Amino acid sequence: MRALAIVWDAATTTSPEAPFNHVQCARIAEACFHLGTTAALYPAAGPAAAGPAAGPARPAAGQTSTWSAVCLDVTGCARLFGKTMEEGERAMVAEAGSLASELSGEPGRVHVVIADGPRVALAIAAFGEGAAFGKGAGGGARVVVPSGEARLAMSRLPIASLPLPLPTRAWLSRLGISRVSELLALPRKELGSRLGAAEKDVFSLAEGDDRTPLIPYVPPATPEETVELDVGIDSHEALAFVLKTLTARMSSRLAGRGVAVSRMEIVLSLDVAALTGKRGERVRAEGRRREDHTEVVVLPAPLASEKDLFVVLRAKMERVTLAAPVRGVTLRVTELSDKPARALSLFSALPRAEGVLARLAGELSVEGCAVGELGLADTWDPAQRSQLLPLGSSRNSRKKNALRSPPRGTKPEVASPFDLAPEPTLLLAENCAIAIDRREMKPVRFLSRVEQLQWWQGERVAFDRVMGRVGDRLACVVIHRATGEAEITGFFD
Amino acid sequence: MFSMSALPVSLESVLRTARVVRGIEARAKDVLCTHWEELDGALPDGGFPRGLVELTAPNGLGGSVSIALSAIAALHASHPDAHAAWLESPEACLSAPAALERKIDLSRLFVVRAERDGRDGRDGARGGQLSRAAVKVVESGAFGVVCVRGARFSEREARRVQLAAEESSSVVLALVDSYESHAPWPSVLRLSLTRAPAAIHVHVVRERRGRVGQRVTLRAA
Repeated sequence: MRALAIVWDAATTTSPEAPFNHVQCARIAEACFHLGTTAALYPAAGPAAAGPAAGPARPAAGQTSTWSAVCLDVTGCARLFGKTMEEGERAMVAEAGSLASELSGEPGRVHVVIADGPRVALAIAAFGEGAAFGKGAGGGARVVVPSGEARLAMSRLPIASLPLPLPTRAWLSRLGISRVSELLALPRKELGSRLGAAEKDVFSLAEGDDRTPLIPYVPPATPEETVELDVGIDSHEALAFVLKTLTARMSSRLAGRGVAVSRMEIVLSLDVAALTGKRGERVRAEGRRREDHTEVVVLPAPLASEKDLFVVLRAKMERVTLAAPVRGVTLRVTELSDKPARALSLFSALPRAEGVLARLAGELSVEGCAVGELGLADTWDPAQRSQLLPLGSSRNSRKKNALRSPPRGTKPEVASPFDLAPEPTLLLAENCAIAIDRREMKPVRFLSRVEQLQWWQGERVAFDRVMGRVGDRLACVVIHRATGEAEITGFFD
Repeated sequence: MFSMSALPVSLESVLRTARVVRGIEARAKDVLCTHWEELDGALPDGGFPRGLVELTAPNGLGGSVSIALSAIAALHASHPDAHAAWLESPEACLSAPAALERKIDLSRLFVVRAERDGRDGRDGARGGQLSRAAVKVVESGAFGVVCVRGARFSEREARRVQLAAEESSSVVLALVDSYESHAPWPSVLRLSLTRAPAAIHVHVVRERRGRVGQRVTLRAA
């Protein structure tokens, strides 16, 4: 198996709390899912001796590590990133390195290695030294160990890279053995009794033979990102900075999964001590240290990029009144959807609207506007024929209709009777219909007569639709046949 | 000694080179022809100029919707990827069958429904929801034609709309009720419309170069 290992020193970069390390590992793994879809996490479990090479599972008690690591199975993926295997693997290492550096916040401390087997890759990433491993001048290592050269690469590593218990390592140190190559030079039969049950495992790893399977990490159905703040913030400008960080992290995770967001929540943890009024009194009486304020954002068109998410969330937050300083912000995606993909043309530019429409729709939507596109509804009710549909509906329905094209020889669909008469260009909302006296209207043209509509609703509806002149306006007037009442339902403009 | 007769080129051939833009070409590029011959003939530039255009009519119902739809249909016919936007208040909405009758591609018509502005734009105060939405839509620069029905832009908003429309080479058609007063807008063209049962009377009231006064009667369905 070709494995890609990303290793960084968690002790210097992150909080020593294990759950936080796990979140960071998960974030990096999800961002790198496009490189390889099976990932395993090795979050740091505290300050101790052994490195990530201790095993692919989480370190057990006594086998703790200051290193956090993520390992991906990238077997057969290299050709997707380059013309040759070597070129592709180098490109994957560079991409994983830049992503992990950005998300871990320590560019110089992230080491990325591709090698045969996860434990070999992890050991080289954590313990490789010198210019050969690209660790010179404080830079992170970006190493590709060619297939079949794992033994050579392992032989250069220190003994600490092998999963040996501390007493055995101390004993080997007293013998003057500090490198794996020196261990391999010793007679294996005699050494076997000293190493005990781990002998086979240690020697196969030292020889670069690593067949350890990855324990796959299953990402949560609803990803979330949280930022905790030491000092409460009470301005929207400061909140925008926090949102920027959250959206950057979230968009990286979404890009790795290849999905977009259609619904999300933003939770503001308010400082209870600063809450005033009855709300503050109630929260303090309940003994709670924090009060959450949740805002739900429903997007008319799915969004995935950092810039788009940030614009929408900022517009939403600008409309929120902060009741108290914010001590923490959580961005939670509650509904994921397919990311709309489009093949780009080499010779024609992407229409500007394609890139802007989803963001603009989201921004207007959070401000309370209804956005979408017009569509025809399949109904006999003339007032209901025009509908505002979600963006992209007509394209989707066109694709479906193309798939369901009628077989040859079938009769074409019968035209709607409404198609025979002109339609008003403006339709008044149901509650905005204008009641008029019939004598005020000067009829111009009869449009249609409806005898019965939606009989299953039990209400008998019979009316005539007439084009008529009312004052200086050309209106669509509905005359109810039972009562004789007339009302304007639209205008021909 | 230098002699003009020694040059083997004519003035016409120089003008035909790609680096020289002639006024006639610039005019064709800067306007949106509706292909409604009577209307294009009445407009000073032979079409709608890029920028803010006011269509004023009593109650906002003098045939302005038909004219706006013809501009959208012309835009959609001009390029397969051209998008248009329609902004309106929820009380009176554009009808989909009417738009289809005029050969508008509904998948390329972005519709926004926002609460109608309630304040008088004369004070220059911050506008209502519809005006704000219109400013955002125009500033996105993604739409060749933006039609706004019922917005009451403040002076500042109207200026922003005009600048954004000129930058993005889009036509912004503001469908305005002539009974409602508003602060003067920096529009490039203002048409006064009146509706008859089978006709629309158009009168050019304002034009940036002063070519005003043209009147035409359009046949309408």
